[in-house]
Amino acid sequence: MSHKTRRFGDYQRLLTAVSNEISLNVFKPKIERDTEGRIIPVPETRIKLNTVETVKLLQPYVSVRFMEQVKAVVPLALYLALFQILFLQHVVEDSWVITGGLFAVIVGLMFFMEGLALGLMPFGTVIGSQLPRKSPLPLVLLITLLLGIGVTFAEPAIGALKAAGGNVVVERAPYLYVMLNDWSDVLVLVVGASVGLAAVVGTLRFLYGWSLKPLIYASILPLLALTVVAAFDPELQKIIGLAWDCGAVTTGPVTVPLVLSLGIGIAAAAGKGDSGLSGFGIVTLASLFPIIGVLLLSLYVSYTLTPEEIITAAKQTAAAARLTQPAWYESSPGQEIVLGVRAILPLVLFLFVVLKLVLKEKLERQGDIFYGITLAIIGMCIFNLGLTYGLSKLGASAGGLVPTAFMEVAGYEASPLYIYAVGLALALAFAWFLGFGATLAEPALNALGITTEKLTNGVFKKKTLINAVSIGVAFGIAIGVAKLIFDLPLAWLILPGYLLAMLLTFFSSEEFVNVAWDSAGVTTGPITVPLVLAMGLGLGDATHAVEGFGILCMASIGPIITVMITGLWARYKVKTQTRAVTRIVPVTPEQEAEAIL
Amino acid sequence: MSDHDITYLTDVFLLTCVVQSGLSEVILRAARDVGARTGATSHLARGTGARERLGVLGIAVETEKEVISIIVSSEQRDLVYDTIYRAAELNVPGRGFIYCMALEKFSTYIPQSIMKGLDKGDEPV
Repeated sequence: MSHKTRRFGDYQRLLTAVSNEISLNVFKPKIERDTEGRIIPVPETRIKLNTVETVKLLQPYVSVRFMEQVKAVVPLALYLALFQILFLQHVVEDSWVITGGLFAVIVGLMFFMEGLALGLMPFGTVIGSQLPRKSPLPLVLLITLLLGIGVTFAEPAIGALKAAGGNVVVERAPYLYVMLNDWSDVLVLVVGASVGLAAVVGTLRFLYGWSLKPLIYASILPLLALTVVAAFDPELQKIIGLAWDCGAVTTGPVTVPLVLSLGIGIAAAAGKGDSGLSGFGIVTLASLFPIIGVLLLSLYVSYTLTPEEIITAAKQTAAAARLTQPAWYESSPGQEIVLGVRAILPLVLFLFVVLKLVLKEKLERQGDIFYGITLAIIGMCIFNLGLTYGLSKLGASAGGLVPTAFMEVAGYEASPLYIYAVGLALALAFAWFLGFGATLAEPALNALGITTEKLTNGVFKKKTLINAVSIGVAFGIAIGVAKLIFDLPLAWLILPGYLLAMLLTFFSSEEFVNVAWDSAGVTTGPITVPLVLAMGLGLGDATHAVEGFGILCMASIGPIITVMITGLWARYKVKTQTRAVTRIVPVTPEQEAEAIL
Repeated sequence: MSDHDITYLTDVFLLTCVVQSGLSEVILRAARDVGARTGATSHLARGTGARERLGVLGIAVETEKEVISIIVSSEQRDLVYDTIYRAAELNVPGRGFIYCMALEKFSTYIPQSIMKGLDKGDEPV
């Protein structure tokens, strides 16, 4: 005999719950027939809900999506705030403004992601599955290219790049200033075109089954060459950080799914969609090509404008701006709204035109899509507001305060707070854990981990990948912060890093090369990017570095190296194990030949 | 008992819940806790109805559904049914529905130890 315990409350509830029975016939609509006895179609009636019911219906819908973003934002923000309070003994300034801003980020991202899923992804799915079958390849590739530009403008993190422009002092880095201010639209356009080009090359790669390795060599070598060229010019030197950071900014929640769905659609239409590696590579190329694009653009700018011209022009515009009242779309809330609308609408219009003119398809659920697009635009506007008042401010204040741990910073009497070595170690540890934690929480990384585990038949566990990437990013950010503190030239860090990565690429298998290079792109989401960018700029400001870029690019190269090293290590271990097993068995010449094959 | 014999289980009911995707975990746990021990089958489905008729509010109802089938004895039926109804909060608009059907008979593999115990007249564990 077994004894079961049941809660008395359950029993009582069962006894007391009122149940009533109603025949379903009560709800049956009245069927009317016309004169010939045919049934007239029953009109669909709307369900009307009262307020309580509406709240009950919407509550789970909203709370799930809200919590998703809370989980992404709050731990990071808390980490930054607590570090400032506990180790730097400094209460976060404007904490209410920042809290409000972070709340705006959460709400904005919630709206934006939902809008993305409802309003933009259906376009992506339909175009991805229909376009390659209905149109010739050149036209498809052209559309892919244009799509790359559209999605780059719609990427939330791009706004952070533009926001960073306001903090650059024109006298110290004239080219950097002009790229982020007067030429900022051209900059985004170039980045977008590079992403588009990357999407085209990546799609061709799916189609013809090219290996990723030669593509990596072919894009890294000119990239490093351009970096070296820029490094020899004292003025262009300051732009290297921006260029390399652009690569990390591009691959976010809009670009990756939309471009991938088209790329995979094309490969599937050609009957080549089933390789385990399909889907990889575009992210890698989309984070490398923009760097080339931005470096080329800066070379072009340096040929057309001299630093003196830029400085005088900037002074004139600043003087003119002081005289005229800024228009509503140039000052804070208006500007963010204009930016938000401008980010989404072109992409939507482009997708719509492709759908109507090229595919001549109709979308189902037009209401949903309209709602989704509206939501995405509203979300983008709110997110931009949150970016200005929340993430950028918090990052900048953290960045500005961290140096007080080890050096004298104007305005902080107690600084340096610690002995130089201790303070420095604290600052680097802060950066390390920021990178580690932010990456560990990234949802895109989890997805990549699952794919990797499948791809390598379980040799490379999901957890191993997530750890490898997180450690890579952590060291990357710590090195990036060190670069700002000691004012090291970025080229010195990039060149050995990427040369090492190329060397590892040469020795790694195709799977690991794909995973490793793509992992660099997935780590930089819409929360990490603005936070780290602003932190770098604040830090650079406090340590009097010329410019505060370069942390993100170090955070990209870090995981590439760690993942490939982990991959090689895993392969080495498997090899030694099999060797140990085979050594016991007497080896016949046939077996030996087999093993070599 | 030879291999050709079939045991028919009677007094069997089938509970089926059609709910918004993501709710199956809650339902399965609730059903298991009150003794639905044959386990459950769940599959993904796509449904229409409330979403279209709710107008603007319809966006809160996902088209992705989960269908969970649970087989219970006649004595468990009401308890499991009501528990699921409460656990999945089916009294909230747009969550889903549950229904119950009588099954004529039900057969599956029954572990030897349980069969022997039944022959002796023990109550199964």
